[in-house]
This record gives sequence, C-alpha cells and structure tokens, in this order.
Amino acid sequence: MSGLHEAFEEIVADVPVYGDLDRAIEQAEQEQLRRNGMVAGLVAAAAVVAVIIGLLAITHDENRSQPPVGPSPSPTPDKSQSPETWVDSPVARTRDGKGWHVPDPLTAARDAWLPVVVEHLGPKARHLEPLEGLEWGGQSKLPAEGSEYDASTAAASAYSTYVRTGLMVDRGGLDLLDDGCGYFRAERGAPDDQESCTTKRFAGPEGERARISSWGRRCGAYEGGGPAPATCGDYAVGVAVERRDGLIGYIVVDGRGTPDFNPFTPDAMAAAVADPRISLPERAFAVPSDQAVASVVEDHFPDYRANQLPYAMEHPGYAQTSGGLGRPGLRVTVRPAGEAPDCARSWLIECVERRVFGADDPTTVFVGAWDEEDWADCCPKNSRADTREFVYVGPRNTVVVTEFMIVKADEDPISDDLDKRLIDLALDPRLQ
Amino acid sequence: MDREVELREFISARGAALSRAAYLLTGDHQAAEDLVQDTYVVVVRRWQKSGTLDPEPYVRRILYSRFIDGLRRRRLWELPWASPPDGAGGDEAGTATERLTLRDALGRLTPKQRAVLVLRFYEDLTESQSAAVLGISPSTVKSQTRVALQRLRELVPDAAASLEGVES
Repeated sequence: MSGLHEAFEEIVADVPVYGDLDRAIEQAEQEQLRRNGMVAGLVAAAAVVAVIIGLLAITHDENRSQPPVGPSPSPTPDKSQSPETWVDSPVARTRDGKGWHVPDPLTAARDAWLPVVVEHLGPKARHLEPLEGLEWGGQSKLPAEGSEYDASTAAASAYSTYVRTGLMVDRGGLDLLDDGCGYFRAERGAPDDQESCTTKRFAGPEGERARISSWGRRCGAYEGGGPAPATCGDYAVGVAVERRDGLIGYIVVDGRGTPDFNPFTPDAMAAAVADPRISLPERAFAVPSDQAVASVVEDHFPDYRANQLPYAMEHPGYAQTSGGLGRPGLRVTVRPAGEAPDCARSWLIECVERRVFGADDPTTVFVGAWDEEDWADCCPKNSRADTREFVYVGPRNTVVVTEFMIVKADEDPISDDLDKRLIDLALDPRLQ
Repeated sequence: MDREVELREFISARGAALSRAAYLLTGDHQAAEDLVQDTYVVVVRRWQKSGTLDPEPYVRRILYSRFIDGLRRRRLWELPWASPPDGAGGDEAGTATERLTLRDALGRLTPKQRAVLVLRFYEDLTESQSAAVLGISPSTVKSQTRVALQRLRELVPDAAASLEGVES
C-alpha cells in the first residue's frame, strides 16, 4: 500500500456510477407538488387573516399611511409590543439565494478592495476570484489546476489557494500583529508535532510596524506515497500592518502545501493592506463593538452565554455575538442600515413584514421562519429545527437576530414570548 | 445557461467521483447508490433556487451531510459494514486482503471520522475546506482525523506498520 489515498483508490476501483438524475427530477417534482399543496393552504389562510386585519385597521383609521419599507424610527421606551399588537403582511420572494438577503451599504466598499489587493500582489493575483460569504472583509481564491492560474509548481496548482483581507479596529484580543502564531493556533486548534509556526517583524511600505507569520502543518502518517514529500501539508501565511489611520490591516493566504507555496511576497502583502484605499466609509465606525452588542444581549437575557472566541474579531462596520440562551441558540449581528431585506427563494418558508406596535405605528421588523425540510439535515431522528430570523432596519443600523433550537417532533416550537423578547432586543436603541 | 442543463453537465462530469466517495463513506454498493440518489433528489429540489453557486462544494456538502445524518437516523453502520467481506476466495497478490481489511476498518469508525478521512485523504481537501463541507471547525477536523488515523492503526496493524515505515 502506498498511502491512504492510493488505498482508497484501490477500494473504489470497481465502483460503478450510481444515481439516476431523471428519476431524481421526477421524485423532486412529486415532492414539490405535495409541498405546494400544503403551503398553498397555509398561505391562503394567512392571506385571509391578513386581509381581515387590514380591513379592520383601515376601518379604524382611514388616514393610515403605507408602507413601512425603509428605516424604521427608533422606538421610544414607553411603547410595548406583543403578539397582540403585531400586524403581519406577507413578503414576496423576490430573489434567488437563501434566507433574508440583508443589504449592507458597505458591500460595494469591500468589493472594491480586491482590485487594490491584486494591484499590489502582482501577476499571480490576476486570477483571484472574488468569493461571497465573508460579511466583515474580502475573500477570494486562486482556483486549482485546470484554471488559467499558472502556479510555479504542479503541486501548488493542484489545490485552490484562499486569500482573505480584513481591517480591525480594536486590539483588545489576540491578533495577527501582536502574536501571529498565537492567532493561528487559536484559530486552528491545539498544536501537534506536525505543526510549525514562525513569525517575524518587518516594516511596511512606509515604515509601518508589520509582522508576518507562517503557519504550517505537515501531512500525517497515511498521506502521500513513498516517503512523505516535504511539501505535503496545509499552510497559512498572515501579514498584519499597523496602518497610519490606526487600524490593523491584515491579509491571510491559506492553501495546501508548505508556507513556501505562498505565491505572494510579504512586502506585496503588506503594501496591499497598508493601502489607504482598503477602507470603509465613516459610518462603518459608528457600529457598536462586538462586546457592546454582547452586553446589550446580556441585559435582555441575563442567562445569555456568549461563545468566547480566543482571538479578536473586531471589524469595522460589522459587530456580532453568538451564544446560547439555555437550549435556544442566538446570534446577533449589527451593520449600517441599508435597504429593507429581501426574502430569497430558499430556506425561508415564511417571510413577513411585522408592524410590531400595531398597524398605526411604522416600526417594522421582518420575520422569517426557516424551512424545516431544508434544515432536516441538521437534526437527529424524531426532531426538527425551529428557527426564526428577525431583521430590524433602524435609523442608523440594521440588526439581525437569529434564534434556533432543535426540538423534538412532538414538542412545542419556540414560544411567542421568546419571539417578543428577541424583537425587543432587535429594537434596542443602544444597537443604533 | 439553463439550470437543468448545467446540472446535467455537472452530474455527467462528477457523478463517478460522487459515487466513489459515497462508496467509501458507506462501504456498501446499495447504500452508496441510495446515498447518491438521495443527494440528487435534494440537489434537484434546491438547484433552481441556488443562484450561481459553485456546484462542486454545494453537492459535496449535501452528500456528506446526508451520509452523516442518514446514519444517525438509520444506524446504517450496523448493517453492511458489520458483516465480514464477501468473496474471501484467494489472496494471490496480498492486495485484496489489505484492501478489504482497510475497508472493513473504515466501517468501524464513526460516520464523522470516516467522512473526515475521505475528505482529507481521498478528496484531498484542506482542513478548512473539509470543515466547510461538514459544518464543523477546522480544529475538529484535525482532532477527528488524528483519532481516526490512530483507530485505523489499531484496527489494521499490518497496514499501520507499513505506513509507519513510510512515515519514518
């Protein structure tokens, strides 16, 4: 046997091609028809209720203005909301994707980072492709073999290489500038004897304080054929710069191989994140800190236990906390206010626009209930996920509160009382 | 490009690789076929809604999550993997015994350990990429890999000895 990969290849040598796509399409269509029948019934019932409520509201106040799309006013403390005051209107599904699409006015600014990074990193960076999914920074990849990317060695081109770029505002936690190796170890778990990390200080393009940290983990016993090649492993190279504007700019290259496979020079990486064009508009810096958001959550829920990250995550324009409220899990994010969210076609089975203080008050929270079927993968037998997401577009910031809990098949879902308290949290003026 | 055409092209190109991964995960032809078919149904159901997602990690994630959760539900690992390998007729090359022994040992790992090994050492993904597929942290991938390899060494001492020789 010449390594685990080869052993696996031997095992699957005579495996035929399974699966019948036509049969899968037919089966999926039948399932969809069944679901549509059920959902149509629910939607029809909800529509009837909405129409009745609407008619009643109009009867009470002929001059009521419509609709509340756009930033809601910051609620005054003397108002109270509850299931009795909620007035819900269905929101149409208007876009592809998953869940609520929450517009972030900083997205365009972050998207503009990649050309700047490419400009500094040089010709090999020309093939960097932008990736979505990073809410606080930029992420891209050099695609693997078969693409136009021409790495200097065949081994280096066999795997995609990932590049992420970020800014940090707070030096309270472990970060790449103060202790790069500590940062990588915290991010990637306890070290073992296959790991190594070196760090050294150097000067940025204009003499700024900078540090490069190179982390690597060699292949284990079963990997590779013959003697394990010296180049077999995973690596991450991070460069952090203390910028003239007081922020820490950082860039991490993450790939397969050893740190020597990093296709970019430390000077180029430092120049990229020291560039003042890697920036965000002023309003990004008005978003509360992660710790401030966690404190507000604790005020609303004294039993809230935030997950403690061993490294710093203080990014301008994006605050977050996640943790537990006993059984339910909770995640809260805050970003500058943008447009109202869109309900995407996947994941959310129900999207509503909720006037939380009654039809006469424009304060609106968007509420999405997740599709249990799509979440079925999450759960053990005879259980299901009960998840809802609240989006409040406030006068300055958008607050997204997500609650989730695995419940038994015959158990009551997350209660209206918890929903009410989470809406109160989303509306808290301290998050604005 | 039409989404269905796109899906057909992807399945045509990657169906064999998905089948091989499914077999490594389940260790049984029928179970692997069920897993792939089940994955296709989920993919079809979500495909039209999935926008411009890169299909490779998308489909891979569905395959692996269906595998792990399917085992949770059906305790499948107690069925095919627990029985002795069939076709025990001859061992001219020595390869068959070793292959079947390793295959059998894989079945004695937990589903997540097996998934981690297949992702890391068959699909050659990084820890981070494997973590993304399984929805767990890279450090969990690392610890599960270490435990799984140690378990394989215990279960397949012949293979372990030769591999430890390679390692040195």
